[in-house]
Amino acid sequence: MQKKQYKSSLGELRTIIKSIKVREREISFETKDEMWKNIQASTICKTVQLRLFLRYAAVIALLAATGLYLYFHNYDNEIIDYELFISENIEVQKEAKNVVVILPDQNVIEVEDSNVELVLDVQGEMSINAKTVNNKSLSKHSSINYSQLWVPYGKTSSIVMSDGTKVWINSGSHVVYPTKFSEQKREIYVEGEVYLEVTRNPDCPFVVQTNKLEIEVLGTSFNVSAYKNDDSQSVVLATGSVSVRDAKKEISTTIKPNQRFTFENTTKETRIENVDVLGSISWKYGFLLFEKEKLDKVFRKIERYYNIPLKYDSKKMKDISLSGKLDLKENIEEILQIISITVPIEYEVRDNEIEINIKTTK
Amino acid sequence: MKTIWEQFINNDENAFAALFEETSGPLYKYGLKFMADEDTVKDCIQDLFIKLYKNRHSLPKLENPTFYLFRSLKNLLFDAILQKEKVVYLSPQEISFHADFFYDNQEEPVDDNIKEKFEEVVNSLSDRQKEAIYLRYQADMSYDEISKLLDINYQSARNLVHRSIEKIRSAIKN
Repeated sequence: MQKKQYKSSLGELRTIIKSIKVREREISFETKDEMWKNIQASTICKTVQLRLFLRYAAVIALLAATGLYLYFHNYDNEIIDYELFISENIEVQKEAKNVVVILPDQNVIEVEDSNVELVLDVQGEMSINAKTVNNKSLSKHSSINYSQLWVPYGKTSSIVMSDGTKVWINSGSHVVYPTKFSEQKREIYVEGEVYLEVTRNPDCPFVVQTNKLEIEVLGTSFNVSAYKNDDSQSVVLATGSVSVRDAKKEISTTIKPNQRFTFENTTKETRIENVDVLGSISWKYGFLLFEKEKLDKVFRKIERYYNIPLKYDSKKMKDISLSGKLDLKENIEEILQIISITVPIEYEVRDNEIEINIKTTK
Repeated sequence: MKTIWEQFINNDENAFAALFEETSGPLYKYGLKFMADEDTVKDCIQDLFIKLYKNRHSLPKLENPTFYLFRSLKNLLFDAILQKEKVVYLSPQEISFHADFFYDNQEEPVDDNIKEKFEEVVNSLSDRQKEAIYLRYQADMSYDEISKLLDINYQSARNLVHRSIEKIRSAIKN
């Protein structure tokens, strides 16, 4: 009798145990994906110090592969002459009417689409507009392989880097980047204009080099404008914080969200001012936003985007300012038409260029 | 056949991804029991995997990596809670544990009265009793593993679970 009772009580317990449930919040696919990206971003960039000879081995392998000159500092950080990188391939770029990717082995990929999206995964594999490009053989030789992207006037592009950082590249820009980030630093070189959303990784700073400035961040979004034919270079911060230095490290400053840092190329003057971020990054969304912008600057931006030369007297245009939004989906004549309603200009379309003059009042 | 864990500590990148794929769900659920703030739980899980990756060459061979990860996550959460709440806890065993228990059986319908009684008695259990039940019946941990997660000895872990179940049983019966 005793035994039977015990048995039934066991069965009862089993029923109870089976009936105890917990309302759980399941992990969403997005959450999982986001976490995995962050984990990967932190595990790519090795915080373990590579021994010196290994680093040099990598650099020498690169040197041998591409025949580049590299400048070494006394520190353990090697400085790469990015400008030389770009100038070596200047011929390819001069001829290109499309977005061009130059791989570390000097193979050139030309993409005809007007907007080109590049994605680099953790293994350094690349896809262009969702098509995988076989560049696997490259990564075997050395840990750092530099690729180059040239976005001509009239085109735009974006790259998702191996750490998840996204870079939007405006017309008329060069970007030099490693196929896969390694060692202690994530670094890219920019000539032209880019907007970045950097994946946060406190152990591994992200550095954007231009020919004049060095912008260092941990995780943030910001715009860099460093066109060689502009008088100044600027950095505008959307979120987070970045520090900006000049090449000689004489100037070093930190900027906050909604601030613009400007560096005058000739006088080396710098200034920080509060700005509307949207104005600086609007090109990324396919429109241009101006607030009391001088006309010569407006025209230069339009020229770059449409890749049609505009002929105008910049001294005269400097006296006129423009505010408002221009939709870059319109064609250039419509854009100029809209501008001519607001400000006193007239334009004449010729074969290869458009001439713009100040309207003479009679 | 090597387990995922063995492959992972032997430097297999795919095994690292598989380990995350397999354990991130249970870890997320367990973590949320200690704090409602999802972001902190996510941060701690990320930290956990980054640390795992960095230390993969010095990690031990494990039979049940989920248990090991649960324990590491609990410690990371404890540190995060200390920093965030600025409350002094003496040990991880003092952090509250919120699990939303309910009573239901697929095979036979359960009386609403019993459901209510169950919720009442479950709410009267201590946080550690709730955690022990959760670990035993939801996360399928052994008594040995429960004892390590709660920092008590094997017999105490058994007693904790048994007494909680007994309490639930007698409450439902009346």
